[in-house]
Amino acid sequence: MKLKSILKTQPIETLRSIEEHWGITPADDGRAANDSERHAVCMGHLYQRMQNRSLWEKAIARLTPEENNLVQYLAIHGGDVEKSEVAARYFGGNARRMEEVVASLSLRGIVFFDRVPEVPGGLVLAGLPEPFLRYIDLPSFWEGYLGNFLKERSVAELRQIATQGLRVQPEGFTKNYFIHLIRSSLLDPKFLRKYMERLPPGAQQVLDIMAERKGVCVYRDLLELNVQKRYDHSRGDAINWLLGTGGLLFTAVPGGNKYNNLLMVPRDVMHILSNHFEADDRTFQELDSVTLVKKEDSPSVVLDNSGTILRDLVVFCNFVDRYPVKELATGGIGKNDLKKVLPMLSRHKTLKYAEFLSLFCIQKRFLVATGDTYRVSNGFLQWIEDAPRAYADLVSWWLKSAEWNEEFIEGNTVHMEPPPTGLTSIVAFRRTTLEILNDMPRDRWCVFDGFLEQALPVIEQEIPARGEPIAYDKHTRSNELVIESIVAECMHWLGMLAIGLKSDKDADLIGMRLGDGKTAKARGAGRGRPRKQQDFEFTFRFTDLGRYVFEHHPEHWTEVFRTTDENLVMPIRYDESHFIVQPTHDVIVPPDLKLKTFYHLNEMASIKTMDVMAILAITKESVREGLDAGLRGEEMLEFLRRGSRTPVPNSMVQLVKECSEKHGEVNMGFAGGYIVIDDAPLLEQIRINKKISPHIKDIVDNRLVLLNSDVDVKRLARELQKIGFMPRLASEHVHVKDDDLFHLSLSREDMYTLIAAVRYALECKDARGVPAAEERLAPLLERLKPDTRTFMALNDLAEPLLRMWLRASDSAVEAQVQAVEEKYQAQLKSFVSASVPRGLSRHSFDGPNPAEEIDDIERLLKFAIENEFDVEIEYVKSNREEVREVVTPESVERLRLLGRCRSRDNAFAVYKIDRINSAKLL
Amino acid sequence: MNYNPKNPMIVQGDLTVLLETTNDLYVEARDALARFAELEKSPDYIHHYRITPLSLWNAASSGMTADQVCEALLRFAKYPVPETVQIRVREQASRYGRLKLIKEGGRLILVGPDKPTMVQIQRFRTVKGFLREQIDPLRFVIADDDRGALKQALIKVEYPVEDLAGYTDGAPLAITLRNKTLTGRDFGLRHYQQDAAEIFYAAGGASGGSGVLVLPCGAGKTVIGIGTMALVQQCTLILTTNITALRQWKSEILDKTNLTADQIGEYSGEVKELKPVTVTTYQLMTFRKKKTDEFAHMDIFNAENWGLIIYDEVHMLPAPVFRTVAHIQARRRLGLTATLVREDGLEDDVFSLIGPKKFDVPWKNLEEQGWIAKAHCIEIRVPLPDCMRMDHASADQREQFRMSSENPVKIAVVENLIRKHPDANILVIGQYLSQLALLSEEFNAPIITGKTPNKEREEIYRKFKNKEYKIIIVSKVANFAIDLPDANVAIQVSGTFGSRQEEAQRLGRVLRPKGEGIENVAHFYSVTTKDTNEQDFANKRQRFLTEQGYAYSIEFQDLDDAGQATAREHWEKICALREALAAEQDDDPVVVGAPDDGTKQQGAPDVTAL
Repeated sequence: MKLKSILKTQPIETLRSIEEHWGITPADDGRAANDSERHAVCMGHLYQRMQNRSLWEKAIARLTPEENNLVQYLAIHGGDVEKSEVAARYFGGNARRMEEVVASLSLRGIVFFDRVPEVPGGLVLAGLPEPFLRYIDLPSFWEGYLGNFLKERSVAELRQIATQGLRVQPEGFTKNYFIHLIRSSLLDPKFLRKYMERLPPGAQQVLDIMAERKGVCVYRDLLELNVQKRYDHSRGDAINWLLGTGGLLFTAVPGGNKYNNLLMVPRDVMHILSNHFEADDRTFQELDSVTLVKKEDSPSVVLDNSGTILRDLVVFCNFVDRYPVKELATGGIGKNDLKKVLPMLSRHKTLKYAEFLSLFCIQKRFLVATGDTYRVSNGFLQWIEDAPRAYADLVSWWLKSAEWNEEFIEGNTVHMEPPPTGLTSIVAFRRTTLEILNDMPRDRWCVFDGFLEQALPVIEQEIPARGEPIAYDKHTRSNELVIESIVAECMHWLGMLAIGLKSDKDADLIGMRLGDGKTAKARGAGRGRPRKQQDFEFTFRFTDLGRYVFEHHPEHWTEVFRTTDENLVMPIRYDESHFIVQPTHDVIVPPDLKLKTFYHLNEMASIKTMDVMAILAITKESVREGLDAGLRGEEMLEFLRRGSRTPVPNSMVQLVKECSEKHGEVNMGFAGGYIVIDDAPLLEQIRINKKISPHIKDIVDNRLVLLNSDVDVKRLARELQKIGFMPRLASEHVHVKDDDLFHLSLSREDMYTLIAAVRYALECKDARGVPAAEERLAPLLERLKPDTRTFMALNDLAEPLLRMWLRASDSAVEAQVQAVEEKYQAQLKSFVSASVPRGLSRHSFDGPNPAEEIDDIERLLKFAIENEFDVEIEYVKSNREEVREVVTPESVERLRLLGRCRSRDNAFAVYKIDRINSAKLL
Repeated sequence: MNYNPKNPMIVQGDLTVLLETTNDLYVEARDALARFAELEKSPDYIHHYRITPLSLWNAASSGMTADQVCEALLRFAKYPVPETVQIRVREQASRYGRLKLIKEGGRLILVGPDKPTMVQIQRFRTVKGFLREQIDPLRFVIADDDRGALKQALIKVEYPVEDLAGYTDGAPLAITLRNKTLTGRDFGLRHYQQDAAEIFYAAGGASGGSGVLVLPCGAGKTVIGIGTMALVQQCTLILTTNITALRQWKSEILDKTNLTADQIGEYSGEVKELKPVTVTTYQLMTFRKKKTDEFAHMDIFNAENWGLIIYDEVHMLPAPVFRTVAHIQARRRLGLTATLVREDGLEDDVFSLIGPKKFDVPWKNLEEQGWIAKAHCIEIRVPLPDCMRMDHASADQREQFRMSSENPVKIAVVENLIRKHPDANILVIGQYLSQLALLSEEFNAPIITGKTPNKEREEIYRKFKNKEYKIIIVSKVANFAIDLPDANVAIQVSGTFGSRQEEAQRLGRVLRPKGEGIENVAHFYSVTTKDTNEQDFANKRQRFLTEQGYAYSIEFQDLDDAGQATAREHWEKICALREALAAEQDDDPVVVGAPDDGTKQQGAPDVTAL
């Protein structure tokens, strides 16, 4: 529908009404002589302004939802739809209502009725003028309908489809007429069936492939034979016919060259084909394949991590710091340790989520391996103080991380043994998925399968083909499963999408499918036989946080939380300073408590529930763990008193005090394994305990329990905890005695390394006169002697280590000195040559210049060296090649000139004097 | 994050609701919440409610819709309400009323909403057995006896049935409440007592008539029972915990209603009377000579045409009575309790067989209103004397617990407390006879244990009420249902391991509102031995009360050399008493047919399970 022609047909009153609705200043028609002129002025005035996008947006913003949806509906089908079809499919058959709504919209210049005179009986279309279609951004799931494709074609192309493809005899010549003709023919199931029967065989085959691929396919894939990487180019003719003449195939997204074009069978045609030639009479709501959530699909369980992701991260790190979480040989944290943290995290979290957090923390160096266990770095506590920045860091890490790969079923590719290979370029994959997500409605539930229909073709077009794997496995999962993992795992974990499930059990299935009807076992994918895959469907929706982040393009996500736009309410807020301590010893923590405070709270309390409010409990065990971690009772109480809105109950104060007193009543150590206890009855209690007594070797002085050499001291400490003790466990390798002496437990290797280190420092002092160690090292070395014989043996082992370090140190020093020397010389030379006037010039040389005789040359070179002149030489190389080079001579030794060649970037060079044909002072 | 700091409610994703009690909107939010959520804990500052399928079905049965529930949550929520909560509320609420139990032609019929639901129902093995005859695809005949069991089974598979079959009316009995009691005091139901009785009765409708009322000790549950009888106006059977409680019920009914002594029967070991109002005990119900014998007195449920059955202290309902209750679903059933916590986790069975929780008042609310005494809870920790430490260290855990419980230093503490409260009426409550016997001897106070004949017990109670005795020493027989209104100090010297219920019930002995002119304050002392497993058990015991808002303050008592010597002397006496009592095979024997309240009995304590 042309805007100008439709405006022409409208009476002047309608034009005035349009002016008013659009907020356009009325046309100045004072000079118009009559109504006709006035109409023309008014129309011209409107025609220009109605093509202004901002005015259009204002006009459309004033419509009711029903009117707005009608505009969308018409745009889906190319702008013009037969009146009866609109009444049937949009107004549920209520023609009267349709008349009212369209008439009302006509008065506001949005939708008009338009008569197509060529059709016998008079065809009336309800339509949007063409310029408006440019302003309507349809989401991808509403694109790809026949009318929409046809409106992009020229009249000649449409005529070709109608006459040569459909073989119908056109009676009109306008674009509207042709579009109507082709639509009404192809969307008529009877016609379509007959048309399909008479299609050329190649075209039928192509359409069969399209049908298998749900109507969307990249051009090159249509050429592909079943055998991998072999193409049938003869199919190209059939494809081209369908594209140009058949009217059944269109280019949905151009891909740079035709082989990369994304082709599509119009959705409405596809609907008829895949429903056994049933007419497509879907209503507007039913056309929404993404956000139309059927009643049976509506979620029973909603997973939303936007409020818990950072708190989970804090709990996770705190857990790692509190418990001995071992570093795997490949780096990373073992599954058994990760499993222990799961009950402390928010609900419905999987092992993979803990793996995700661990990889992030390790890569960001928030968790650092100390010995064989991980500890939290100080940087983490500073980092969490700025929560929005922390969140932005987490998101941008994920966006750029190739180490976390959604194609690999376990996600983390770094600490796997052997590491997975041949994975796709996940960073590009993620970005493409996010681009498509960006196009999804933000305020409604979206069906994942519907989204997949939009996303898969684009991914196939954008992401370089990996070659079809013969069978998917845990390393190479299908694109479908990778998208599922990005959407339902990572995007959900990062709190941008809420996931709707039908049951709690489905939460364990997300991201754990292998493809080919298999799913990995929950515990350790790949171990044992894979279980049968369970089908499940889910929906997703943007969270407030997701909406906020998606206000910006993924490229700029790192900047999202630095915005100064006051209209945007920051969805990440952790500025609350207080929590509530209950008389029941529960600590109720609001969701916006400062993360650093939350971390410290976790040091002395154990998580009971992580929900909107986190509930922690202060128990004897949690206080003991706090004491084990080095906190003091008073510190804990002070922290609680400062942070709690309510008074800290007396019973809690007593609990902490009592634990502090008891902590250290029993001391344990690793040096051979011992328990020190000063209270005789307590010693007796330990002595007779059935689980401890077998490990006791001896009791000395009625206070020191010596343990058997094979005892696991940590395990024994846990046994003591079970029976009510609070043993203070010395460090495994270093412990402090009451007299402030440190006792070390070192392996043989550690010991000789330490001796070598001390001797190295002594050597440095002796050989180089470095006074760093002062007089402390020799006595220390002396004290490191267990006994003379053992020390000698250790000393022998330390010797090669020491030599190696000294050699390395010497060569490093030498290289450094040489570099400095060269630099200094070069600087000095240029300084001298540039600034100090020479006493002699080249003319002072009393021999021939240039010199050609060997003696003359030798003399000239010595003159040049003495007086720091450069020389130009003609030299015959060993391959008889003659070269001319400028040399800074440095010395002449045994008929050889040593110097730096200017033309070779001052490289050091040696020239035989007998091969120098001539030399000239410069 | 959107949040409204003025609102008092936080809705958690697991359907727990936290309610800030210091918020201005607290009362309004609490009243809204009480209609569809159960109060779980009510410590200071934040109360915990839980929305359960049962609470939603109860709300639905009272006409509340899922939309109204969600609206209330959204209106008072401080932080956004998790979407899962709204979905679950709608889903659960929609289940109620889909299945109905009706009476048709004298037969009990289960009616379903549609064929798929009924097919689904038939597939549950636990339900299938109750579906006798299929009238049509949507209707099944149910045996009258299976009414309770079917309802219980359907609740477990989350298909709550709306019971519209009504109740069998019992023989009529005209009961009116007196304005003045026989003792001459003004009498009338307090407002919450009236509410509780009326909510239970529901004007005689099918939605009422069965349920549990949860009120603090001393709040007058017996009076509510009597008030309910006056509403129902039919013959009533009352089951209570022991003979003392039985007699108290009798005297209360006589005191507060127009019924005469010849209309109230006692069905006990001593007397077997069946009268329009009959009071009996759980012990008698579960009495049998041998394990293989039938329960001889269980027929009492059908012996008369009862219109109402009252289960006093319903949390102690023994397992055999559970089974019988399942068969008498046509009778109105009222459960009364202060502490519906069972260590065996059978609370849900109580709700499904007796009926849902109909009324619940936080303890602290009644305390604020003065209907129960204001209680000060104090834990006094004493050290173990040196003379016991080595023996204690080398004992096994059960013996350690007993030694800690019988710690002779506690005697000095009791002495101090008696001195501290010279005018008080003091109950000293304990677990071990040897300890109690020594206390009785030390303070020259009468003692009541399981072996004390009923007459003697009543005599002691009477004298205590009349203030002839200022101190009495009691064993666990006085844990429940003993009405000693003037007792205002309770000293707990030992207890049954970690029983939360026992702790609460013992506090309840001193919570009765004090008479005019007496300060409405009670003191509850729990004396424990520090650094022993008794202290750990004490922590667990206190949990229920701390959840009700009672805060224990902790005090310590040191031991000097003189104290050590006295303790040694006392300990020797206790040991001697233990030996003597062991010889008599007496270790405060548990009363015959002990109530199955889920707590571990003395014979098999699990001392490691704190």
